[in-house]
Amino acid sequence: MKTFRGVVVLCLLAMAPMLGFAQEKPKKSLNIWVDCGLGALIFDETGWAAVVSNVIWDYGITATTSHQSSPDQCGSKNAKTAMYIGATYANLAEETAKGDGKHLHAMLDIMGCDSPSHGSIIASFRSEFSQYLRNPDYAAKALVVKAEDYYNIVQTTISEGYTQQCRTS
Amino acid sequence: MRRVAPPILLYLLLIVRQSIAAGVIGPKADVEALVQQAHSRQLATHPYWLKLMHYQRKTSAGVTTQLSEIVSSEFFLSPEGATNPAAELAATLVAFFEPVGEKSDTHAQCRFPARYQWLRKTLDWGSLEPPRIHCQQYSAYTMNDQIDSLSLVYVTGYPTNPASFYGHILLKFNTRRSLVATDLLDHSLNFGAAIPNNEIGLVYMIKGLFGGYDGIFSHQHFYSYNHAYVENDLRDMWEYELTLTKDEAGQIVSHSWELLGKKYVYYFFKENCAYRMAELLGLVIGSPLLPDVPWALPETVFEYIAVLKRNGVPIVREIRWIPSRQNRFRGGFLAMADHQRVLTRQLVDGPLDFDEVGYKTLPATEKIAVIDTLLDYYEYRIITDKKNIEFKRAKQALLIERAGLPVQTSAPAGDAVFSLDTAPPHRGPLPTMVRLGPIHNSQFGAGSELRIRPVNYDRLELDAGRIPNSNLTMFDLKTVYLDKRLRIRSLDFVKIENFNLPKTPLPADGGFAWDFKVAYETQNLACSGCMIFNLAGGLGKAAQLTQHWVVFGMLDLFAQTPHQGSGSLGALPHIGLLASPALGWKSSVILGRQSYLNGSRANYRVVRWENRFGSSRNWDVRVSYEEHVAHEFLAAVSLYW
Repeated sequence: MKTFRGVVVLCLLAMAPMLGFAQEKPKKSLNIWVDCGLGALIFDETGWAAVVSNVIWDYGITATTSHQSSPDQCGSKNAKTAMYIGATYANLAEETAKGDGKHLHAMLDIMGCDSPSHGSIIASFRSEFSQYLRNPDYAAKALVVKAEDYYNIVQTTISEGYTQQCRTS
Repeated sequence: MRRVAPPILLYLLLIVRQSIAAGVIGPKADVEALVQQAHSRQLATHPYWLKLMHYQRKTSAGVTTQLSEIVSSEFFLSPEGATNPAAELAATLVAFFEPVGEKSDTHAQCRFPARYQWLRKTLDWGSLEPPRIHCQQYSAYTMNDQIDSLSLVYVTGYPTNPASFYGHILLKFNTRRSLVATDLLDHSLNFGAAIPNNEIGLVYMIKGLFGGYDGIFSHQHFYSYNHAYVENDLRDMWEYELTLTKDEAGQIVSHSWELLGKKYVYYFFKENCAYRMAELLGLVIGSPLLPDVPWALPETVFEYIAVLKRNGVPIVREIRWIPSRQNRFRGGFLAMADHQRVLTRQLVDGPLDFDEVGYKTLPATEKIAVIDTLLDYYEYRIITDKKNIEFKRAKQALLIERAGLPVQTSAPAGDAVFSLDTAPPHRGPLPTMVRLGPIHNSQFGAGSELRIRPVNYDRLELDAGRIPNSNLTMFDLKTVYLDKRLRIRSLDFVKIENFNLPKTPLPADGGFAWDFKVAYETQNLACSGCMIFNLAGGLGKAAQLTQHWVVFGMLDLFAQTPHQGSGSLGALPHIGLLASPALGWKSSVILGRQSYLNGSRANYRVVRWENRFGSSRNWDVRVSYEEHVAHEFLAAVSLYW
């Protein structure tokens, strides 16, 4: 069952470039959530995480297709991070509130952040995230929106203070 | 005197020369010599080569041949590779010398690294140097050769999906921790059937049983499986880290790369995930990991591997529990002091008020325990009811509260093992059972009963390593010798009972008890030759009075083939008690009334009192009394393996 689900996701992602990039303007900057098919195409609220294949990291049956048919930037660390956040958002939100946890460290590993810097990076976006949580609309937001917001909080934190510690290319 | 080459060698050399003639390789004579060397060493019949190619011996019309279980043509480099080990070996050696094209990852060295490594070790290559290739995708798969060890992971059974009743197996590649901080980013291997979405249940069962699906190895990062099984399906995982050498682990990893995406024929009962994972590990583990029976169960692999030693060293280094989200909140709740539990219950039942005195006066560490438990609890509620906004609001409030408390990681999951009475799969019930003993039937007099059950456990068996008090049996055959005749009493094709008991007093922990049965059985205990087909299912509720006492009430509905105007539809409401009054004694009592809704509209009292004596995994003594038109007593000994 899981195999087939993985194949379904592969097909969706293989289609994403055909559907999205055919209309892309040359100068437009890449929006990972939209252009790499990481948005509503995959992240719905109905147990999508169970079907999220490791599409970008998958070097086996799915990788050859997704690598060949996706733009380089969709295989970037940013895209991998976005995929990971989408898959593990509930855990990340909890661990961010707690201030530590293995999902957080795994995310920072994906982003290429040095291990010694993890603690201070987490502390930085923990305070940002706690502000974000106070948004009255938070509970009603779709999972994909929460994940994207979280991604932006983390990226902003790193770009504003930790570019030396993290290689996010 | 000149030696004459045997025909098979001439044939192989012809293959090599055809390849050379096609201009794909350079040092013609040397490659020919390598193929000759492989032939003279009989490598094509070497057990390792046969394992790498997944050949099985087939005999037809008195002729024995080899046939690979892999049906994907891209797994073979020779057109005859599926049936000819020597031709595939020759073609493989030739392919290793092919020039590197634009895509190095498609070169034979990159596609078949296990074959390459083994042939490099086994043959004398002399001065022969195949092209040096950097296999980018394979290198990424092996994390640049940074895989330190392997873990076999058991995913506990999932009662809502028939294909997952018996659990599942994954193989996790443990990357060096200095490279990645946690195992969430480790690669993990999966084997399963490729099933179309929205497959109809009956079609699914039939095709699964009779080879209608492809079976495929795939891989993802461990976080994906963790999310799918532990977080979404609420299933525990048990990780068994193995003591394989780095070279042995490397052989498994490289061969798994060769297998990714290649198709097998999938059979639910035998050629399933347990079978393929055991087969893969069999590449380096000399001992069998499954018995030679017509079925393969995931937990059996763990049963075997847990006791396996090599040179006196256990093959399992460490066993780690990965609790489901549901068991995390249960474990967190049970690990707290009484006053924290009471407070937690108040916060769930009433408004989530953190200004409440009982909470405000707690020290921070105790607040953290309460909030972390509630975070797990409300995430569990969200998973089971995704559209409920109130649960999401509660979780939002908890996240805000938690973000204002000090940084502190949760207690290790292992702490909850004891409070939840959880045990790894190798300590669970042994699946195969035979039971024999005397019976006395009020209609037919004295006799005997012989019962054979291939899988898996009934409600009275030892509770460790399974859902306590549940029943999960298939092809459970009960025969009786009564009135000087041997006859079938019942054949349960499948029988499942799950009491769905809560482990905490928090709302929605636990749920409806349910059962389901498909059987061929006697109409009642008083008749002879009165076999019927019976399809039954029911809902009810169970409650745990104490640790050792469970009461339940169920309403079963059934449809059967009528017998002598009995009716074909009916109901069986019943109440029951499950108890463990003393160590080594477990008892089950059921009182009910079977009523037909059509036909005769007759109704009968049903009483069943069953007892298990003994605490061994290998045997027990059963004593039972049953009333269904006639009365019957049984005293029997059961053996398990």
